[in-house]
Amino acid sequence: MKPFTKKLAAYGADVSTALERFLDDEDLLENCFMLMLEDENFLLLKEQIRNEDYDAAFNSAHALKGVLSNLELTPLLMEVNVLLESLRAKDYSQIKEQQQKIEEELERLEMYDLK
Amino acid sequence: MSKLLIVEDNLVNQKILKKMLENDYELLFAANGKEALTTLKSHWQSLDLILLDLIMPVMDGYTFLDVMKSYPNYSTIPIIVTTANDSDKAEVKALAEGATDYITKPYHVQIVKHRINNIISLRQTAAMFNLIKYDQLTGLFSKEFFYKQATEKINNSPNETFDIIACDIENFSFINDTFGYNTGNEVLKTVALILKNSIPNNYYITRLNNDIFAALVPHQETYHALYFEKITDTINNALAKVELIIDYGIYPILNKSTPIHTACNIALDVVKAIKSNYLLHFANYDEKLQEEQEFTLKITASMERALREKEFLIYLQPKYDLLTNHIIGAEALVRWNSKSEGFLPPGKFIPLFEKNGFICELDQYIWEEACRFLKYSIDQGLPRIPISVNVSRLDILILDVPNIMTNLINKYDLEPSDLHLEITESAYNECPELILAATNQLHKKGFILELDDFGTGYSSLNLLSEMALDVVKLDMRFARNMTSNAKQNIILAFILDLANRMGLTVISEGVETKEQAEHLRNMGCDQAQGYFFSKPILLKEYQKLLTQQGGYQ
Repeated sequence: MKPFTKKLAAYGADVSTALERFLDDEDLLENCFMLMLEDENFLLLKEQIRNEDYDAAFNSAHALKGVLSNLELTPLLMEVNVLLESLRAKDYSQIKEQQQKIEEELERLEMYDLK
Repeated sequence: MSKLLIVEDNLVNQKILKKMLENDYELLFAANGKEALTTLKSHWQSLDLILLDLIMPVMDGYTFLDVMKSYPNYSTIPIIVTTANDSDKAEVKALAEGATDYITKPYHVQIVKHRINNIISLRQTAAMFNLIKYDQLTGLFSKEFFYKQATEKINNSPNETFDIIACDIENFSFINDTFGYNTGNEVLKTVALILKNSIPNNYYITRLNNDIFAALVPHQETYHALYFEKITDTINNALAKVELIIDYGIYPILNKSTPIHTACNIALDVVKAIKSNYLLHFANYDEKLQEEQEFTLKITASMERALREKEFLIYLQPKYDLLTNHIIGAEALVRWNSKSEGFLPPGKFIPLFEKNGFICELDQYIWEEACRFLKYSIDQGLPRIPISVNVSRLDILILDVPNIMTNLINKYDLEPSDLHLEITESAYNECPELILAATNQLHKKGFILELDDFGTGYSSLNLLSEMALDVVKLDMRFARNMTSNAKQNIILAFILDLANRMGLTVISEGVETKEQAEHLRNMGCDQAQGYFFSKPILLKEYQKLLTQQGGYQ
């Protein structure tokens, strides 16, 4: 296993399922992880929540869920799921806090020096 | 090797699917529904399957599924939608809109491959035919099996005559939107059961598409309204929450060599002719309809050749400044000087072209001819007066209009402000997000945007605030009624004041009398177009007018 993949596992990603999906291509997994970090939906989601544009935020969160689930980034996916379900239920009482949790999880991901 | 089209905007998801499938399939990619439609144009005959994401920018999966219904050629390509696994609503909706199957994210490589393999194999082998003998939702014969069975029955019954009865639930979309797709599906099942029980044994019925059914029945010389009212009443009594409006069309199969799908399509045309007629819910096929059918076939067969051989003529209808009475623009319109059908006004062929998609080719031709004429006029030293061209809803859906317009401007060395673009209010109502995105882009590039037929839809005021606009073209009904309708005048005054405050130019269409022109002038309308000033004229005649007018611009 490459160093990148080991770090990803240490972060809490389900790397064995991810590798099965990627047909054991660790380079491709790493490449896709880097693409995910640049996904515009993270910034869009932040802005949409700030502007209370919840319909657009739902689509952005939905798109992120698809990508994160394909990469098996379980901790980050869980935070996005919480936000997504609140948007689906139109329960905006904790929405800003839930968005903040996503930001914090991204910062935590950075600590694993995966770039 | 089988060929797949993957429609997915996210690069990560694209790469994963590519990795999973590239060894077994030839892959094409599109980042949204609009790109997918462009790819389909060239590859539809060789494509075995489409993998379609539902949530995408520009054109999402649902809109793509809806647009696909307009293209009979594409309808046999199975579509597997890919969704995030969080609720079955998306899958139900996609299947209701015509998707064949679905795959959830995260992708499981074995599931993805097996679903694709199975659907492609089924499509390619005789086993597919047996498996799709029945429509999964309603239990009626599938369309293909109905065609087969109906054809055999007709061929094996030389002494019998038959009718096709088609029916359409007029308010089904409303029911789906209001009560949800699960209720919609239950409605369809109930309708199917009752319709099946309404036809004699040993005759056949199918669900052609979504909420449209067709049945092969013994021929009757006359049908009575009561017969169909009874069927509709039985259906509505069986349904608790909803009340359906159902239209029926009857086509007698007079010539047994008529293909069964043609007979069904003709019966459906009969239904379409009475749709939205609140007093009439069934109709028989008649000769007038047959003439229209034949005319449609002739037009469709000759339209491409006609375009190549320049049978479509560009006419210009000048627009006038109401204060100075000078020409300040012209609208490009098209007429067809058909070798076989004679001179055809646009009403005879434009609706058909909008239905079959040919409008996009014709519109591009008109845009280019307008630019060519503009360039020629400028080179001849004539006043530099803009020409406006119409941009249809389908153009925005299918084409990259901003790119095409920019290329034309560059090719003919024109300024964007030389070409005005007219978009109707109804186009906006049908696909607002796409229209807004395209018009914003065009406006940024410097094109002048005109909102056509303003006042005909229910979102007029909303449009004014959302769309990047320069000109509002008042629908001709304003001009026709204002001298006799006081309320119309009040509304007109309001619109003129509003447009003035927003810095928009107002042009009134359909001005037919001097009285109307003066009235508009007195009310402060800027410009006008209509038969009072000039009918649409050939380019040479327009040139003469400009020459006479001289240097005014």
